[in-house]
Amino acid sequence: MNKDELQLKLVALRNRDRSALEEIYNYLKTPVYTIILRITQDKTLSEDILQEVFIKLYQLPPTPPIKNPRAYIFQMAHNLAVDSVRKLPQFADLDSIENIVYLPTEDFSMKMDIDHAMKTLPSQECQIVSLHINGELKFREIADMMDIPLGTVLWKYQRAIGRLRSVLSGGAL
Amino acid sequence: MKKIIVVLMVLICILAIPANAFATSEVSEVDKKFSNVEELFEYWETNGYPDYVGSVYSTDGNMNNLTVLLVNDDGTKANEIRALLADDSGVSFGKAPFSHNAMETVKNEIISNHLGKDDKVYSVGIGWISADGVVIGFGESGKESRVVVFVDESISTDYANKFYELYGDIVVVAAGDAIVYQNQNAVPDNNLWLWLTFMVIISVAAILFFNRTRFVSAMQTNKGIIVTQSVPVSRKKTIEAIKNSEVTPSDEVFNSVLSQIDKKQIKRCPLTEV
Repeated sequence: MNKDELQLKLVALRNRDRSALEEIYNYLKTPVYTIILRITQDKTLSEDILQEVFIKLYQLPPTPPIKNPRAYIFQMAHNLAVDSVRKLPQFADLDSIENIVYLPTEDFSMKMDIDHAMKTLPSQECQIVSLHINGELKFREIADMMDIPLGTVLWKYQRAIGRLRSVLSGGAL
Repeated sequence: MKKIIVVLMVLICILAIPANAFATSEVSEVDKKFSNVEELFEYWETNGYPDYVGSVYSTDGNMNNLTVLLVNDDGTKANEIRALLADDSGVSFGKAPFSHNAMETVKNEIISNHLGKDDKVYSVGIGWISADGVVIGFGESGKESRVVVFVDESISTDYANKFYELYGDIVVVAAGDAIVYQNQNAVPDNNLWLWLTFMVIISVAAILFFNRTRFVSAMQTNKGIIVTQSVPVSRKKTIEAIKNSEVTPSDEVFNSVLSQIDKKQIKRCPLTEV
């Protein structure tokens, strides 16, 4: 589904077209869910947030024309996920979740697995990597979405990929 | 002071060979053949650098012999570049941690946020630096480029900290003729003892790191595969792995979305739904 087709589906949503909702859901469920999961690290919570995203999208579809419908939906998912994490008791006292690092909780061999490698990244870097690779958003769109300079996004992305390579290489780099 | 800055900036521009901002091109997209590396360099200058090129400099002061520093290349891009040249004898390759396009983006951000705003930021450029009259590049090779920001000495450490936090190693802050490091005062390059101490620390760290990785004899993945050897994973494979690691939500989620929509509609307008 390209940008124009997605725009058309969103227009159809304004007419309460459920088949349009289903098509958008099937098209975006995997990358959106992956990004939410990277932020929350909790499958149940992530599914709840995914539901919330599509319920909101159905009830209040954006007024066309929007510049980038794909980025709009990812922005919605990202904001809901970040808000949900902030509400978790363990992060209640934190102003920012960007520097949280989810260390692997089990044995070190799990470092070989990409999911666990991703967990070794600070949350903000993990989000940038996931939004760019899974969400296929441009760096400029990610910078706008996360309200940080483009140069910072580029640097953090480079650094994150370097770290992931290092973890996946098992120290061979 | 201003005179020195102007001279340094001219030097930076000459040595670093600036490129057009934001423009990118991939090797595969270039279908024409170039007679030599100088012609390819001119093409990049006009049409923009690819994202995997860090910088280009003259190997021996002659424009026929250029060294191209590549970002995260395992040899593939270097071979592709050679294949574009009818005569590839003048091209050499090295490694760079940052692409020219990334540095250009950072440079433009710093210019738009600080230059000409009475922030005591005097100039911003991409390239090498002159310290104590000696021109030096960056990185292990001493040939890499960075975004070099000349600031007033009075706030140099603040800027070094700030830019490091925002952009990491891609930015080098300089005041007068010395590089300023984060959380330190301006450090002149001729401080031999400081450099020696630094080199000793790096050497010890390298030995510790080597020993630590050497003792990793076997690892087991989640799926039970035993890995007996550490093998470098390429950037491309890392990105593919991230892409392939996407997770699909359970099938019930969409049904739950529909049922919640139904409930909310009934709640909102019960008469129309009944």
